Amino acid sequence: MKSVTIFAMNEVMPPHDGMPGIIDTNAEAFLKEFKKNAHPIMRLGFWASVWVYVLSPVFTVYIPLPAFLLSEKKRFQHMEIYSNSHSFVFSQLWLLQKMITGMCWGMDDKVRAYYGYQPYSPELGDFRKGDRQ
Amino acid sequence: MTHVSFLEKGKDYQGEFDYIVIGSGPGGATFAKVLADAGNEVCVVEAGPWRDPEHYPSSFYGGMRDGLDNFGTTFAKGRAQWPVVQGCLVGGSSVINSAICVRTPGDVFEQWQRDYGFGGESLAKTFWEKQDKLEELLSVSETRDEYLGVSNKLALKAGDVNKIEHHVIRRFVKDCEGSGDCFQGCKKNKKQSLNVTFIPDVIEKGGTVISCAPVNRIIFEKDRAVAVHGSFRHPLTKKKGAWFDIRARKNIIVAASATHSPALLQRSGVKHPALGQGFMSHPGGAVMGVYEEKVDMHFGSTQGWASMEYRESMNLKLETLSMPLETICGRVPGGGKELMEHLKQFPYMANWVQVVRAEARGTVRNGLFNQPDVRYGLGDKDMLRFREGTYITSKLHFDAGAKFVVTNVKGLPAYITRDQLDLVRNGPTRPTAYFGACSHLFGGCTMGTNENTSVVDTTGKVRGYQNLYVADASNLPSNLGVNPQHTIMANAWQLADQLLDRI
Repeated sequence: MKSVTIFAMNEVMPPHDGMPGIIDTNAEAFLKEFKKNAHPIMRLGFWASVWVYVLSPVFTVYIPLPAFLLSEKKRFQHMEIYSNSHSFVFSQLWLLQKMITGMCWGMDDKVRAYYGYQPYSPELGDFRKGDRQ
Repeated sequence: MTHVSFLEKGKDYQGEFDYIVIGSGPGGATFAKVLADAGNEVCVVEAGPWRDPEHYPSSFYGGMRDGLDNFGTTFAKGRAQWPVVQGCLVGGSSVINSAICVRTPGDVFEQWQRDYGFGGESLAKTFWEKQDKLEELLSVSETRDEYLGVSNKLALKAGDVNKIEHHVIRRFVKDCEGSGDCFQGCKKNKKQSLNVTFIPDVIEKGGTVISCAPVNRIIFEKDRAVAVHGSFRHPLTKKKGAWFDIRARKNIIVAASATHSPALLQRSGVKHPALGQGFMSHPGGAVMGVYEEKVDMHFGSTQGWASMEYRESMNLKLETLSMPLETICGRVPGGGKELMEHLKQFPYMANWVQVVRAEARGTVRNGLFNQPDVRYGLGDKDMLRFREGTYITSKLHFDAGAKFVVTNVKGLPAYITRDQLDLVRNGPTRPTAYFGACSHLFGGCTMGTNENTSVVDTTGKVRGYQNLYVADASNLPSNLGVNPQHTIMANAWQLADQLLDRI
């Protein structure tokens, strides 16, 4: 499950020309945090976007295989067709896949270092405790 | 006892106060402060946690997790599904917005007078007097030139070239240092959000704040609102905690936002034909310009520039809005290596937005799991304005020197050059073609003199019930065409004054 998710994320943001891609980031830690703390609707939407992306080559490149078993050329074609779909549902799923992937990517220390930005400090989600705690 | 946060099951909380204020955003915090300043025992009940600047997250993801209501998953369902952006923490949306301070325009009071039977010059005078005081209390200022950042400076240049009304934004910020993280909460504690200003004032005056405490329902004895009931919710795990039952000796003030206030009244059994009707917003979209020079838009004030040039003629307001690196992926076209190639340009991108004073009206209902169900779709007229706004913003980018712009409009080229601007102007008008969001929410418990069409009267009192008031954006009967925080606070203040005068 995790490897399929990271595959789909890396399809969106692969390493390119010296720029780190998803496989260079700490995607596993991000997914763990996402699974633990993200809103259920967001989690459901993201998992749906991953699985629809992985299982839809039969509709895009007419090959009844999951995307991770396609050749590089066919994977590229699949992404081109899928990401330009006129279906509102598919385009929303693609947007969600990109958004969550982009968050994982853009907040990673290696990516920020590539741009010369400071790393983010840890985010503990802490809050003010009451007087009775 | 001054602050009660999440309590584990079994540690149920009970209390009794003069006033209960549900919600601690601009409406609730202001109302609570006025009541507390007058010597009343006030209890503010807030669904979200109390976060101080040292708790604020750094990333946009952290901002969604820690600051947004439901992780930003509330959507306006209509011709497209656009997210509804609002905060859920002590201080409400004032913690996560850019603290933009705009006085209520005079035409709004004329419209209220004409269409809803209240307003006019006398109310305008009252509002503006309150707004004078608010600006002093919350240290309103413009960002200094050295902290404006390149994106805002480019917008100033575009405004000059086009000879349109435009200005550096006045904000509820004291000595902004341009850290560009308004959305996540200002870690430098420069933003005068209400969790660091009015809410601590309430506590200082003997008030109590109960956080992590979403109110399940308001309890009535006959037609009199007497108490609120709910259970604590852990902000991270969402685990349910202890029950709380809080009684009000005098009044209950609902200020839980334009989505939650109508939903709360509905599930509490309040009956009125207009309850949940008249929901409005300022839907907005963005255009990114890609420049030759380095912009690094996340340095400098998040929103430092605005133009009201088109507010009256086209119901549009234009603003800069910087976005951090992790949000940009969804805004840049393509995927794979093509997307990565585009992302190399991030340091050269500037993001500007257009918001529409939409005419559309929607509804809010209490939905599954006590979450608001928002139905709201933009009409053709609104979409024509939205498209025109996209065109104007694109043109401004070119006038500031952009090489090309990214509109993210479906059916248009991913990158648009100046000679392709007409494609934007004649682009699609279906909402599904655009990447929009609904901010600045209004209505649902609208105020007015007509008993059938207004849920609350002009004192904010819910019709047909005793001791129950509404004091947030949900009682504003129209959208404003400007950022609403100042209006919400002035309105809450004058309603609180009216209540105290009567007592």
